[in-house]
Amino acid sequence: MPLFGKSQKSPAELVKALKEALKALETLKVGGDKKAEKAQEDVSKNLVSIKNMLYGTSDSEPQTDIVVSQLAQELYNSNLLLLLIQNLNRIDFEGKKDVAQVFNNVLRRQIGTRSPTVEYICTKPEILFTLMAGYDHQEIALNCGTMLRECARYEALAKIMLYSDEFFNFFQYVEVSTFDIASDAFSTFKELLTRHKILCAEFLEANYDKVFTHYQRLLNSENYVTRRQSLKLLGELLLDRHNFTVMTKYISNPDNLKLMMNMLREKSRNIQFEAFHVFKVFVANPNKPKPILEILLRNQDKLVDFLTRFHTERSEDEQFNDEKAYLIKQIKELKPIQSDGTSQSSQQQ
Amino acid sequence: MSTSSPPARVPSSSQIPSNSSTATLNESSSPQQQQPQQIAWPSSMNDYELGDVIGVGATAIVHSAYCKPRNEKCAIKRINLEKWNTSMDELLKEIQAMSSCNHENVVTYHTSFVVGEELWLILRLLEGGSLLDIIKHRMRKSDCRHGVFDEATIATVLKEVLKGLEYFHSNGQIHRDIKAGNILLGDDGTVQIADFGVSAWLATGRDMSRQKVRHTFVGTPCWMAPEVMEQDHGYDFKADIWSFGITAIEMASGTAPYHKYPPMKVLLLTLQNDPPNLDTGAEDKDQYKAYGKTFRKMIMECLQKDPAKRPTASELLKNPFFKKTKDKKYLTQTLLPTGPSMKTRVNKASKRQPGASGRLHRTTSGDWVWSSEEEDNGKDSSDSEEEGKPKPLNQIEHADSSDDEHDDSDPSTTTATDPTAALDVTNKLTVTEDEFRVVNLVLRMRNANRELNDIRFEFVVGKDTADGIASELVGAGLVDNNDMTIMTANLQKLIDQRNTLKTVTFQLASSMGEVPDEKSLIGFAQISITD
Repeated sequence: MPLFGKSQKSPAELVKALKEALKALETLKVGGDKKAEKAQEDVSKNLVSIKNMLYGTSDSEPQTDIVVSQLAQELYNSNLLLLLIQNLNRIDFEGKKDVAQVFNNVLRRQIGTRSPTVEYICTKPEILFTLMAGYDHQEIALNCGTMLRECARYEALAKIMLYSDEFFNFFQYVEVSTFDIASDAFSTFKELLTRHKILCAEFLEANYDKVFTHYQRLLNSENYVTRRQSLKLLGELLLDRHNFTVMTKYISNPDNLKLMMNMLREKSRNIQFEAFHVFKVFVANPNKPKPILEILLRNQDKLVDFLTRFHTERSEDEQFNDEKAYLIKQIKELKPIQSDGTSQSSQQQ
Repeated sequence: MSTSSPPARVPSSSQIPSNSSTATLNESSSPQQQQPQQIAWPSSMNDYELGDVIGVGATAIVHSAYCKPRNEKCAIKRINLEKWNTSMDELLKEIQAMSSCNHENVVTYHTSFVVGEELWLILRLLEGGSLLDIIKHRMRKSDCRHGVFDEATIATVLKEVLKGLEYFHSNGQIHRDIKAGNILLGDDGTVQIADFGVSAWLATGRDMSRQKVRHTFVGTPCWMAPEVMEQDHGYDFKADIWSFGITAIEMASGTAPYHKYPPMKVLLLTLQNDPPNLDTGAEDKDQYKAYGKTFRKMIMECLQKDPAKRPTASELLKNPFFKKTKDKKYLTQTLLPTGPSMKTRVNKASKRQPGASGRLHRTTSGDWVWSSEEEDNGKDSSDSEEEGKPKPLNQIEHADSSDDEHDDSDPSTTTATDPTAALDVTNKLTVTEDEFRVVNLVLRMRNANRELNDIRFEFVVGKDTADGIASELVGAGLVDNNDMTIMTANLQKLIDQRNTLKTVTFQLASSMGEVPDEKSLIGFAQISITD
């Protein structure tokens, strides 16, 4: 079949060669050593060959399904995917990107409605945990992030990640000092919490306390980007209908309301604006619990005044203005709590 | 709890379509040599000393700086995130694009971190500034009437750019904004492609409300490939080759071919006319005769309207023109000494006014949006412009059609130039005479995604016709064919009554079964006079 100068290696040969080179690389110290250099070169070379098999090159088409499926089978049997990820930091710059491309391509492979690589990874969740731990290492964090987000697209894999202890490491990863890593981690985090609606809602309900205790720290982060991003995501989570139960719980807690009211007054206008989109849910709730109602009543006049002057330059944003007007009306019409102590809303609308 | 709950009133977050290009791969991704282990670039502001400001953008400032732990110079781009109302994801995507590059000819990204409300990008410092800085400086200081740089210099710089592009494309990335302004030079003659997108978005990062998030930057109109302008189908890395060809012209003549026209006009010229060439913007027939056939041929190959016919970066590297290439050192002798000193650039940087000119943007759905931005073609009014030697190009600079008062430069352009494309171009564009009154207009309507868009254009009274403009808008895919009549009628009405009427709002014929609402412009469009 191939009419090129040198005969092409079969998938089995390639996988074997790559595995041997990786093993060599694993045991040798990088730098200086000739052998290590050779091993690294071999790894890179074989990775490029595998990548070309999957993607093709400018001169050649990708290999046939049969070859690709042989390759995938070899990758599973040799446990090479895990080995690659475990040794990612030892692979050179371009090689790291190749690993991610090979991984993502194999992951997307489908036979009918089945995704064999997804099934394979389900039996080897260590792959996922190793990828997640990649955020601890600057030099591989973004490569791991690319693979993780591809994994997160599959519900079965997202579920494993969400329900793992390692998931809670994300609360640290999203706040690391290097912006690109922190925001990469954040987009993976967001993907995991929003992609598969029902799975996410179940997870959040089942782990409400733990998640929101951690989440609180993000909202209070010293890092402006963390604060802004997490606040925005909070708004999106609460306003997603699937998360109705979670929302109800969240807007019943007076501490959460206090936090949002403080964030409405933050110096940053972007944060103010995001806070508004969470705050409105507390006010629009037709069944406000007593403590919430009390806070709003105590601040009734101040809130009306504040909202009236809030972001008035957004005159073109009709939805925002409608919502603002609605909130002002709601707050104005709040009535003191009945003597029987039950929560109530002032009007029927 | 009742189900008539708050979420009903809430906007759905606008989704940013992932624009990740499918991987285009070739053999060329040779592994780079790993640097010996040294101190990583720190992510704390205290480890850096800020030096002079060397560039100012709409939402960013660039400083020269010094990294203390590494004892090394660097550049710091400070992006004001409060002014960044677009999604942070876009910023991340661009930084990821940068950090996934490791190539001599692509800007070297070290790290990034948050300082207060700013994002600091730590980049390699390229002392020579941008190629555009050097071109402009040289045009002020010497007579560039017959060309800015010699072929050897052009070939040397462009070959480096091509190597960067080749790497970029092998990475599956498209730069989308190749132009002299985005090519940076180091003291030692290093040439790097910079600003892939970050600077581009800087322009879009102005105050926009949630529903109207505009993204997907496409490029600067003068350098933009026709297929990028056409909105129906996508484009690939060949778009960069077109921009590369325009950049080649820019290095010879000092400007992009259609630099003197407003963006909408550039769009139409690029789409309707034959591809531009070296002589398109020339005043005299023989003005650029110093440039030879090989160079012209290379440009021609890049500027083919059919992207499939353009060479790839790798193919282009084999073009005979690049046999003229010299080494880095040559650039330190020919190019860098003629550029502005760091000092000059510092002064200039602090004077530049954001929003002086603008760029054309495309939204997710591919509709056009014009928004203003700092730096750009030609019109950079610097103090030194008045003094010194006669400026061969000032006639061209005067012939800006958005300018009300200017001289007789246009007729001369119609008589000169290449008989093929250029004549056609200039004839079409003699819209700048004094008796014509230019009315600036904005058409506000929803695109296919139902997002509100502003399309800015001008109407030259006595020259343009309402149905002409309307059909241009339809031709550019901005307006539905079914709406052409109503658009024409309302545009005519507005122009006729422009002394009393500033805005017309009208119902569209193309309304897609939704309940029309004039107030929120659903099924309605609005044209307003902006000046």
